[in-house]
Amino acid sequence: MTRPSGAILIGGGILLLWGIVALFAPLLSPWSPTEIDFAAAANPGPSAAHPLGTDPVGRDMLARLIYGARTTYIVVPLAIGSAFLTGGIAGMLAGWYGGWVDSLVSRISDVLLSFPALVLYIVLITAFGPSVTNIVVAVTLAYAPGMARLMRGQVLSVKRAEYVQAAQAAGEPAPYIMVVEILPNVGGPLIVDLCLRAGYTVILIGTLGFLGLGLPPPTPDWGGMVVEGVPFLPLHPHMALLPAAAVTSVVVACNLLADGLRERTA
Amino acid sequence: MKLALFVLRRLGQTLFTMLAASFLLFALTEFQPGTVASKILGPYAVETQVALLSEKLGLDDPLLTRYARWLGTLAGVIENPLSDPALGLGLSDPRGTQYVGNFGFSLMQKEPVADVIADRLGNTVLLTVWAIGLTIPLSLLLGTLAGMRPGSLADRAISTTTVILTSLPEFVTAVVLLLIFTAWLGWLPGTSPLDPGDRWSLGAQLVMPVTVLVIASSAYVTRIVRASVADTIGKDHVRTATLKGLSPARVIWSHVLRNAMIAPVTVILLQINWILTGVVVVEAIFAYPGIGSLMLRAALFGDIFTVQALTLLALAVAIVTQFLGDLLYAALDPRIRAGT
Amino acid sequence: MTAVLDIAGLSVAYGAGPEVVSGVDLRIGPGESLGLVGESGSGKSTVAMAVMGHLGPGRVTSGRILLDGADITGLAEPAMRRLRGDRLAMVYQDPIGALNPTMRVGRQLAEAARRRDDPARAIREVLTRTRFPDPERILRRWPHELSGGQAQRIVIAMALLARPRLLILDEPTTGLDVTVEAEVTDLVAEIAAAGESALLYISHDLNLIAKVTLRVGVMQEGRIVEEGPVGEVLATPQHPYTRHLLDCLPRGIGKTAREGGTPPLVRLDRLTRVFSGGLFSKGPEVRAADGVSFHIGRGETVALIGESGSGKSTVARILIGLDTADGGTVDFDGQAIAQLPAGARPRDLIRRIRIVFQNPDGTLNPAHRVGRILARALKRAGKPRDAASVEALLALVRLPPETARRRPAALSGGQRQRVAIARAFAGTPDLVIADEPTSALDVSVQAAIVDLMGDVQQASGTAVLFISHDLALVRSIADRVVVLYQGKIVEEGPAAEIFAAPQHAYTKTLLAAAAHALTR
Repeated sequence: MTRPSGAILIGGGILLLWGIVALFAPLLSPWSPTEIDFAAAANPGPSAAHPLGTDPVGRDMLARLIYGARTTYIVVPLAIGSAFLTGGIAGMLAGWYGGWVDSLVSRISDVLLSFPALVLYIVLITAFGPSVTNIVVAVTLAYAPGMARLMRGQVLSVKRAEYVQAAQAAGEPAPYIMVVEILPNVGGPLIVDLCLRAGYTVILIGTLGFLGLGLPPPTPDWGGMVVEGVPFLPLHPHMALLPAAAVTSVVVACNLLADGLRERTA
Repeated sequence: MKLALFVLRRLGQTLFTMLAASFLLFALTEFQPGTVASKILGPYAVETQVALLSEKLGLDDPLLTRYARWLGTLAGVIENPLSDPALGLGLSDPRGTQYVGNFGFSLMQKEPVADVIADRLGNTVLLTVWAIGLTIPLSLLLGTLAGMRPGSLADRAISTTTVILTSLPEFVTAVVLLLIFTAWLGWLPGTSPLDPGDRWSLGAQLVMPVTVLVIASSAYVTRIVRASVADTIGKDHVRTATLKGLSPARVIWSHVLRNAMIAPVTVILLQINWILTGVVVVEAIFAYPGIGSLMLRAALFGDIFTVQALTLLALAVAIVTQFLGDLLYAALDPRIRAGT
Repeated sequence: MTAVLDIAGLSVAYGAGPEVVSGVDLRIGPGESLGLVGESGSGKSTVAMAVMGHLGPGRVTSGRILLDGADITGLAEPAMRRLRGDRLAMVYQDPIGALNPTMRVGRQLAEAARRRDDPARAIREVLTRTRFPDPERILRRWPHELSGGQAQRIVIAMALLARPRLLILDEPTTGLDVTVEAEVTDLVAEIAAAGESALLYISHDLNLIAKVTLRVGVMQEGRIVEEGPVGEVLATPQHPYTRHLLDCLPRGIGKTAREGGTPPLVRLDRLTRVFSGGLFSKGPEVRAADGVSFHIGRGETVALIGESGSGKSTVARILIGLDTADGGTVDFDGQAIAQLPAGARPRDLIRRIRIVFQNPDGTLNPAHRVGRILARALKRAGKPRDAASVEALLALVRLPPETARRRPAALSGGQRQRVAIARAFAGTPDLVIADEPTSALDVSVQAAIVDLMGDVQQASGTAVLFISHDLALVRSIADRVVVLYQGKIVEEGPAAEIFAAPQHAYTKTLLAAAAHALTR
């Protein structure tokens, strides 16, 4: 095994750090994220009591950033995991069986790919209102087709490999061939894609919060914190910039990890 | 002959996709009949009203029947029953009850959806045309510059910058630009309502929305172009061209670029689809009067007919560009033309 | 007289790595031709690239290269560019990849002809010379519309358009079919004989070099170990490595047939497989196997010979159950198996027919260790799969026990192919199909694998269907030979008879291509 590259260490490190913050939020946070400090609201800049200042209504920024990590770390893995499972299984079946299974998966993918993720979510909330389930459904419907295509292509590229034919000729059952012979050899590019899409999902969820389509307040959510801070940009830029930086750091970490892993698998 | 067959086949697939996508859209928004009636009547409607409306609109019919009726209304073959004065909704359409493109009424503005969209569509087109018009030449130039000599200083500078920029959500870019150019320097307006009487010129109002879109999409397209150029440079046939004694400029121009453009074409056209997402964000931030901000308000209001119409528009753009992408792909790559 | 190419003490290294070429001396006079032979990695292509001034990250560490007496070692790129496509030209392996896929053939030729006075006429002439009967038509083609042979003749035409002082050909026929190889090699020999350009011909195949050039240099690990007239080097090789290379060229006399009274193990009767042209593209249907009938006796080795597209792999795929026949029957020891896919075959039938594939890179799953691969094969065959059984299997193919802990990436091509053979023989099968098991290996490894197949087969009494495009290779192991051409059997008989007196014109071509150098 070669040593992990700088990109992997930095990207993985940032993700791990936020993960620990999300996990131990109650221990790390000096304040409750919804507690309002009326005294601080008049002077929301950093102070001894509030090291990162407060938001426009006087809630502690640090606490809200910490609990915001929690929201991100619950919603993103759920959404991306669901998309990965759906897309991965569909793509594997399409690539392996070909024929009508492949056509069916391709047609469904074409249809879903014509919906931008954000538009899909807007349609869902128009009908059903905002919720974590709808975010997960929207991300699954939006990203599973792309993942299915990638998986299908990968399966096709190794399907003709002689070790797969050898397994077929040895009478191995199809599930064995798919899981034991094919899966370990197609994982690399899929993991890279997973990291990239995790980054997109962080952006998407931040955007939803920013647009007011995210989880209902007072759930602390980085995107929502940015939009609350925008009117105060000239006087108290920290209110918008700190949560914006938090979102960006997670996205950068995902992209770095993807880049590092891509170089390893290449 | 084969080419005609290929185009016909892709056209068939495109129509199928459009139809299936519109069905999905309809099913998602109108799956529960109750939703539609209560969205139209608002939260304080009496049960008898809901029952009357449901009967009038046939909301208890099977999903496929309702979808067919929806398509029929849209195509102008079936009347839209919503403007019936007996319903007491106060909705009327100067075009009549039956015309092509009849999406019904915006529940938010109590006006025909067609009018609501028409008022704002031009503004969004203006925004996207500028964004795409700047993105394409910029990314082709930077991507080629970086990919021509992988590992060079230019490559490293361009690659690093684009990695960072692709990690920035549009709303973060917008906030940073607002902070610098509006809050600190005061050079540009913080909102772009496009009012003729505004103290900022139309051009000044466009700068920030367009910049945010260009930064997000050109960073991504540049990376694709760079990867493709770097890949093509290492191909055997490029070595053949070099060893034929052709000048470096000629090798790049006629042997690298044509081949390297094949992959990015699809990406650029998909990017148009993706810019639509960005448009929603940018229009919301800058209070830009386009269809993106309209869609957002309609979604929050529960204005299903407006959301349906705008989504269908987005779908049409996405599907048509994909179709064009396939044709362009075939035009660029003789191997695709011959195959399939 | 000044030599066209005079290389003295040339050494090349990539980055800080070791020298890949060290102290090479070569001289080619005007119109002369020199062959350069060696296995992959011997540094022969690097010598060519050093002459063309296109080493990429590599650099010449010592020595000099003179072209017509002028030093061109490390010449600046603009000066080098003026030499390329004018006094220097090159032809490469993989001709399809060497042509720009999005540019018509005509334009690519025109680029090469840009320095000629009358480019259009020059192109017509060179196309006639490279044996294109209808030059106008070929000019309008895209590279993907050319066959491998046509593409290589276009690349040669491109090189000739420069009227170079020195023409370098780097493995120009590797990857091409035997008959196409003959066509290209004849053309190159003709160019060499014409003497307009000096020729440096690089190949891993001594037979081919003997057809084209008069002198040959033998390269091993970056050094020239022997050089001289081809005839002398072949007849009385001085260096042990040359003798090794020569020994590896198969030249058995052919075994005599063993026709027993027992019924054959496998009998193919009018086996037919048709591929339609596809659902949408109205291509003609292809009869990959067209009424193929032959049999294999118990313990017998039958060689199935033909070039790619002749249908030999289709026959193999039907036998093993990866494909099913459209017509005809296959009788395997009383069972009809022509329409029986592997998934529907009883476990014991699967155990009795096994296969060794062509490509050593793909034959073993890169994610699994050798021990796991062999244990699985033993388990499928209903045998114990403990470490001792795996070791015994490895010993059968002369691999050390610790190979079991390795992954395929840590093995050489030859070692991987040995593991594949062990896997095939794990369940003491009755029939092993070997589908071109050596075509992707270096010459010296090829012979070892063929010998190993022979030994394992002798020990186990298994029948072998040895599929190959190379007649010479099967000469030493085949009892009988079946020649397949465009899906039909054109000749069949005991190996000795076929080698002594081939009847069909196609077999004669194959034999001539395979045995040219050895019979002189």
